[in-house]
Amino acid sequence: MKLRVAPWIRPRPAIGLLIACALLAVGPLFHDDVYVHNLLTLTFVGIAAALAWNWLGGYLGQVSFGHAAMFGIGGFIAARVQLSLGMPMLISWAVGGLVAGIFALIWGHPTLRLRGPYFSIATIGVGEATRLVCTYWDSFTGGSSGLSLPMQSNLKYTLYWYGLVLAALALCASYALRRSPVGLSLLAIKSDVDAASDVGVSSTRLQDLVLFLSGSTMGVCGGFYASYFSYIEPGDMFGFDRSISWVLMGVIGGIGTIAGPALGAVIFVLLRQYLIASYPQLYLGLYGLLLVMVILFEPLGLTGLFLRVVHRARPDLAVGGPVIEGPAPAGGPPPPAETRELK
Amino acid sequence: MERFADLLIAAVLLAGLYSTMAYGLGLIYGVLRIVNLNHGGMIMAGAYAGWYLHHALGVDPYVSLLPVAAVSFGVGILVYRLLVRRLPRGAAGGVQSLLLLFGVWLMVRNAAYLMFTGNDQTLRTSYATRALSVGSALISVNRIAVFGVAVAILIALHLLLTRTYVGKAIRAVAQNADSCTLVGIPVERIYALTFGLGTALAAVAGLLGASLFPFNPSFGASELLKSFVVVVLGGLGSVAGTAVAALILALVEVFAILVIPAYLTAAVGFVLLVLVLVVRPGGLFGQRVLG
Amino acid sequence: MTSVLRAEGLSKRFGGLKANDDVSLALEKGRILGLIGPNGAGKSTCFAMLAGSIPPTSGRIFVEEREVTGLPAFRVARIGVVRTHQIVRPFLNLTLFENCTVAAVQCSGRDHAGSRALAREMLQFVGLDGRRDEYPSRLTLAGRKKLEMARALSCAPKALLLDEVIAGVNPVESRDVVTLIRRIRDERGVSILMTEHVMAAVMSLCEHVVVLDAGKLIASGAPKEVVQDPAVIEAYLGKKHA
Repeated sequence: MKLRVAPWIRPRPAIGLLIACALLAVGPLFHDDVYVHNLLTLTFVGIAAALAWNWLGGYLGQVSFGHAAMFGIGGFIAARVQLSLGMPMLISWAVGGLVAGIFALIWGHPTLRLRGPYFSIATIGVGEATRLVCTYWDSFTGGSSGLSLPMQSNLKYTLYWYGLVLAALALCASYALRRSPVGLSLLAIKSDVDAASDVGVSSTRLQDLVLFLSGSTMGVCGGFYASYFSYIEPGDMFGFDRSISWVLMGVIGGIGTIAGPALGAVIFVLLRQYLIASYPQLYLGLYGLLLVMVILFEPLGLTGLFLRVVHRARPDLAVGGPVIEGPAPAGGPPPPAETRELK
Repeated sequence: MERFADLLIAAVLLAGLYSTMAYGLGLIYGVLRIVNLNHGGMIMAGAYAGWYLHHALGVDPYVSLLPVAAVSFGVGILVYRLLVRRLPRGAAGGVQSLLLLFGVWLMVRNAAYLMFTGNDQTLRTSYATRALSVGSALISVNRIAVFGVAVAILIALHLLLTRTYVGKAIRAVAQNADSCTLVGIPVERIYALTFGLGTALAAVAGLLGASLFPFNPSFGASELLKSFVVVVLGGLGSVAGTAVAALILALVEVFAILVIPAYLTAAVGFVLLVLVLVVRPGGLFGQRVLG
Repeated sequence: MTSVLRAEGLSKRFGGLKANDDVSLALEKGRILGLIGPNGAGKSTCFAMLAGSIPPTSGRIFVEEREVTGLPAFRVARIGVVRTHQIVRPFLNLTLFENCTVAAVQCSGRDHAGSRALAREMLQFVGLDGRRDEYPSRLTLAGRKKLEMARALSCAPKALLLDEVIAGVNPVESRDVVTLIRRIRDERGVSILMTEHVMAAVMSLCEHVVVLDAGKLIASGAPKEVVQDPAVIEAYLGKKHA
């Protein structure tokens, strides 16, 4: 029985993802190391958040230093509706995500008129302003004491699978945003937003779409985080350091690639766990150094390194634009060449 | 009414500091078209440098101004030569240089953590607590001194840029770097020099600010944003424009205390920044900051 | 005869400056219309309004009797009026093929496969098909101008607005471009409005010419007549030559 799928979904990545998810899903049955289990859970939410950041920062080229604003709003909304309205966890995450997405639209829509560095600076302003206002806003966030959710036994353990689904969904969305026809439009917008409009790309709408997706996914991650720790406070949720972490994950992993930021998230979470144990003061500086190295020598970060090592340009990971696969029209031209130079 | 005068004077004095702080950022942007995200880091470094010299060696901060400025000038040139120079100039390099300098800021921050711990520090000199009465207002000697130094620096900058060859070369490069090579101006050297100068201004502003506000290694983000507000509002290039914009920012901040709790006044700067960027990207003096 | 593109009383103010004052023109189907005038006459502003890049302060614009006044550029492109740019703006991060594909997908109304076919066809039309997997940075200026045209044509437009395509290209290449423009009208059935400084091209290509000076329309007619119109001569050369 043949499944009708969109022509741009390639079988190999899809199967690869399914296998990886299956392995990760059954993995916990074979070990009882709770520490590793929880570390993986945190990695999953890190992957989802990093990928969400990358849709704006990598695909559209608008680097945000203030994404913690959406993360925090999502988290606190989710916590609030659980506490005050007794909503079930998943619904609270959805609500948190929705509000965060709308918030992203509110500040992002006018701000995206700015290009490049100015947008980035504005996002620092947005992130910090949100942090200050929300820290002050006691009734919403509980002020500096934060909010506590009732501890549920076993919740942390089962969040592993929720996290896995979240990360997998984010990966699928990453793939779709890049490989579908929308992906070409996003790249065109990244290159020249006005010229894109001139050839029929609804630039504003697409930018809004990415803003909303990115913001709402961040919000859901915030809700997840709240459920995981059962306690959140504004200084941490909205913190500049948190916003920075996704920039680092995205850029070091491979900004603009489909899965690079996921790799960056894995490295980040693992390194932080290791460094916090032995060299707590070092990790930001180390990342700073990595960032400098990446910018100077390998703009595509770890993904770029990987590609060089493998010596093949895999179109689905190169920034040079997606190859829109699909059956060639009958008697028409052959599909474009598989190999391309790395940009 | 008295309170009004107090606040007004406070704003004016603060504006001096903000002008110096912002000018470094504006200079680097105007000439190299790069947003120096390490600006906050250098402000913090200057603060710590002054604090350390005072704390460990008993050097008065106003005396250490010159050595700190000189060393940070050198640091700026080093950063330019080693790192920034390797990036493509212009639009292509925009976000990249942003991220590069951001990485540098992270490293500087971490270095400060390692050397000085994350605790708040203040630079208290023996005369810091003295105050002068000007009319009905009581102003700390410190603030007046900071203002005085800031004004002196700005005047010196203005003279440098208008009266000296180097200054004119800098302005020429800011306008049209390509033509400058045609007339024999060493553009790369000017770039390095400007970056050094901008860095030095940031560090000096940090040192001055250290005597007014407590600071820690995370210091710098809001200063960066305030500098940006001033640069965007005041346009690039004119000291006068920067001064006026700095005054506006200082006035808004100081008088905002009347309306919102002190805790939130920092947010005022951020909101102002976003608003100015979005609503009036041409600044007050008509210069476009949009890319 | 329905005009493909028609402007009625177009005016544009920028603050105190009136860049265009009551300009009316019509591009007939299958024709090439020239929009000329001395520097600062307001040609670019008029051009931008027709393409939807900027909204007019007053006046109306119609595409085949459908009003498009004030619609954003992407809408206008999808309705069938597409522009090129005086300073070429290719998507540097996309290959030539992808440059055209994105236009075809967004504008042409064809499905996925059809869009890709159209993109290939347009690249072949301008002679760039052999290099379709390269990036625009590899092309010369003439090549990039051709890419602009191919990309615009991939939108399957009814009217193509050419913004000084010939200026800046050497005489040999400009002959190619002129031939190409003619072929666009003859083989693709696309009506063309072009602004141009290179008079030779205007004379040989345009059946009809409108002249702007200081924001106003001062002449309209066949190129040979317009060139001898004293008002036009005065606009270009000053009073004593009229």
